[in-house]
Amino acid sequence: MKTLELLTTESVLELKSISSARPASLIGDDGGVKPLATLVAEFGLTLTQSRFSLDETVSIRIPDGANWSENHDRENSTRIARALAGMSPARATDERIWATLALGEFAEYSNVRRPIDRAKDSDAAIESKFKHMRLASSNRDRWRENPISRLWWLNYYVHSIEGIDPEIVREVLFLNADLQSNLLGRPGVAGYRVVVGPLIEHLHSEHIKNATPFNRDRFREIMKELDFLVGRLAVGAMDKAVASEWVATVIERCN
Amino acid sequence: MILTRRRSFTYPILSDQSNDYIDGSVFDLEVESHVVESASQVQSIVLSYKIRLSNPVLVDALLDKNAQILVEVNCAATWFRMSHCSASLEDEISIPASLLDGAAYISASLVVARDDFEIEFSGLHSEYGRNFRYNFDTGMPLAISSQYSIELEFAEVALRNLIHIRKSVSERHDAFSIDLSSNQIVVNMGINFHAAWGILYANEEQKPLLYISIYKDCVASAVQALASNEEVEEFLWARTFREKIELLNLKIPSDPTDWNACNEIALTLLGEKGVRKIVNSAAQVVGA
Repeated sequence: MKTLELLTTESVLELKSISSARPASLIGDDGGVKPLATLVAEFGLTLTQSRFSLDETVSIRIPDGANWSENHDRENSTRIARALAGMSPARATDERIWATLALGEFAEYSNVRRPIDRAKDSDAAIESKFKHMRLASSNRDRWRENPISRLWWLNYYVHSIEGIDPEIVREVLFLNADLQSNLLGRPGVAGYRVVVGPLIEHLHSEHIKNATPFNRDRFREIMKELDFLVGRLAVGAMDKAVASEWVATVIERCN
Repeated sequence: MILTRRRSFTYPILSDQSNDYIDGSVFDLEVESHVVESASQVQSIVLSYKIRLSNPVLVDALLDKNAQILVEVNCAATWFRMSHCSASLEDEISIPASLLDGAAYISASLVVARDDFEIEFSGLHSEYGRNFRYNFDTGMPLAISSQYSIELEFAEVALRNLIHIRKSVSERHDAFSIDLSSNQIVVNMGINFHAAWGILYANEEQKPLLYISIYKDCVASAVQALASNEEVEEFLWARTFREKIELLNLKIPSDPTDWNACNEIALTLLGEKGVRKIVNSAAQVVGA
């Protein structure tokens, strides 16, 4: 285990400022984001010792292609959790961790999974991608955009659903990009694990056990309906059996 | 305290957001929070809540176990949500501190605890007619409290904690830019601008000028972002300004491009430290 050296808050702010004022200066001669050491030297950034540790023996797999089935997200989510053992949700909101790892230790992975490319991206696109995919200011950036933090947060979510085998949750969550973003993009539903549990069980049975192809439009309808009803019913007061029956009714109605 | 966004129901709801009840019935929530540390040095946030429920029909529903209290704690930053059911109007909830960060929101409802439960209401607005009855199923809310927010970062949020000034070599020397993408509003100042700010900041007489210029622009930009419904609610500055705006009975402009309206709110929020301080100190000089 090595103790992580993190960019200071001031350095993260400086990177944000640079990405707004001179986004192209973040890009190296190869057309991708400059390595962390170069950014530190060039822009006078500072690294500081932290209380976080990284298990250097754990690596993450570089995606074999842009296709969802080739990105190894599912496997990498467990690997990043092993590499950052002991990380708590309260600490994992620290933007410095994810910015430092995405630009430093896991830069190669980040450049493949969330590429920023001078040849394809305008200055505005570089600014936006850098802020969301290398830094991670917002909750949404953390679970969706930053290539390293999203792996950790998705793994955390997998384990936060009680009464269901985490590997079943993982299989479903990493089945499809649209499923993932539609489920987690509706925090009103995603926060209620009592609702998510039966929903995951249903999705697992339908799309993994029975191998029925995932229907994006139908799933969006289900999520829209659940989101609407969760705002009007006290689902937090439901026990698992009642919630399961209720979720089944909603799914049936959306058929 | 931040008010719950309004939701509509097809039956009466006891809430300070609705006028369904006109007999003075109340359902409100008070929360106190403190940190406790166990012998093994694990910290927990303990939330002690007390609910005031005064409508006799709803009190009976609770006492007869036809309804129960549901308290929910939600922390968006850590994907934390807890639902706590109780038959009591007072209770404590303990949450490991490692699961919370930023703001935690706490709300309470009185919810029906069984199917096919009929209520004959009392104290309702005349639009419901006399002896209004309604048949409820499990989980339907009867009363909803306002939402409490507890800031886990700062016991008291002062403006100095919300605006972070920094000198940036990336900025043009005579300019500044405002970045709203973190808990604090970050003002990146070019070298000359930072020096000018430093001169004003160091001089007690000139300091109020910052509140009618740079700080005012920061707050106006913040109000504009709130008006745009951008994803900023998670940030400390957004929560703090929204709360302050509601407390002063101001309204966030419906049109985010209406800079004059955003400007006016910013000047109102900063009036004490800015324009009024300047005028008052001038008045003292004149009167001296």
